Amino acid sequence: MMTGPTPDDHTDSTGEEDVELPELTADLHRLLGPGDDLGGRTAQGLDRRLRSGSASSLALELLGVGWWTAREILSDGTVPADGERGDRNG
Amino acid sequence: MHPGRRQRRHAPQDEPSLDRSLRALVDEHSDACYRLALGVVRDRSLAEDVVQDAMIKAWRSLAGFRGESSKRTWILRITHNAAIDALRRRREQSTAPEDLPDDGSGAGEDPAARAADRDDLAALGRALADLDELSRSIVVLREVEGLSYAEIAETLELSIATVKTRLLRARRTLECAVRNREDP
Repeated sequence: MMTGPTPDDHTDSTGEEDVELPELTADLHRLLGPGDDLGGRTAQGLDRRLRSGSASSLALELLGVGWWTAREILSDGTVPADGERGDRNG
Repeated sequence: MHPGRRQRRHAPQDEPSLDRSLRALVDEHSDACYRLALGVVRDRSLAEDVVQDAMIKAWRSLAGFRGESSKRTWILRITHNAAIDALRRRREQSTAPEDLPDDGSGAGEDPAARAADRDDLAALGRALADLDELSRSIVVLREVEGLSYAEIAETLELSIATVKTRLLRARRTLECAVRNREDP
């Protein structure tokens, strides 16, 4: 759903009127649009993570090490380029 | 099921058996979180990872959510922090024009007009990329998600004056970039 700025306060810190910019809003929506069924993809990704990430993820979490840090360590800094990533949990 | 406890039931491959509270978070907030994440990290696949990270963090913290802020600003704050965290770990990449979303709205139009339209979006994308991360987040939260200044300040833990000032500068930059594209 497209929402716009709410009319809570209409002047900025310089005293200028806060104008609505519907074209900018529409363009940003198109630029940043999540595409079809992000919710479904997210749910499936989370499902995979929660099912198969169990032991290693728990260990990393207990150590306070996040996925990206772990990936950098395990890949010895040679992180695969975007689009070449496989299923991180598969 | 208590947040943080893993789901053990088996379900068909195409039907994730997520905890109901996690699924509700995804259904209600994933799109907004994605737009914010993409605005910050400027990489679609990384933005999806950020959304998943944020959803898990939020779900595991649900029990501690005291409602002092709205759930929306709370989860957007988690997403923003996750995006900044991911960005720190990765060399910045610009969103390539060919990676821009194609919503199909231009189907059947003149190909030249569609190309010009995509060029305009690409110009906006580049201008957005030239902003600092905080300003990008402010622009997305205000112009796309429609948050009030107070909500943005709460989400990003800034003063309202800072939000207003940064938004004003960012808008001018973006408008200027798009205008220059239209009038070279």
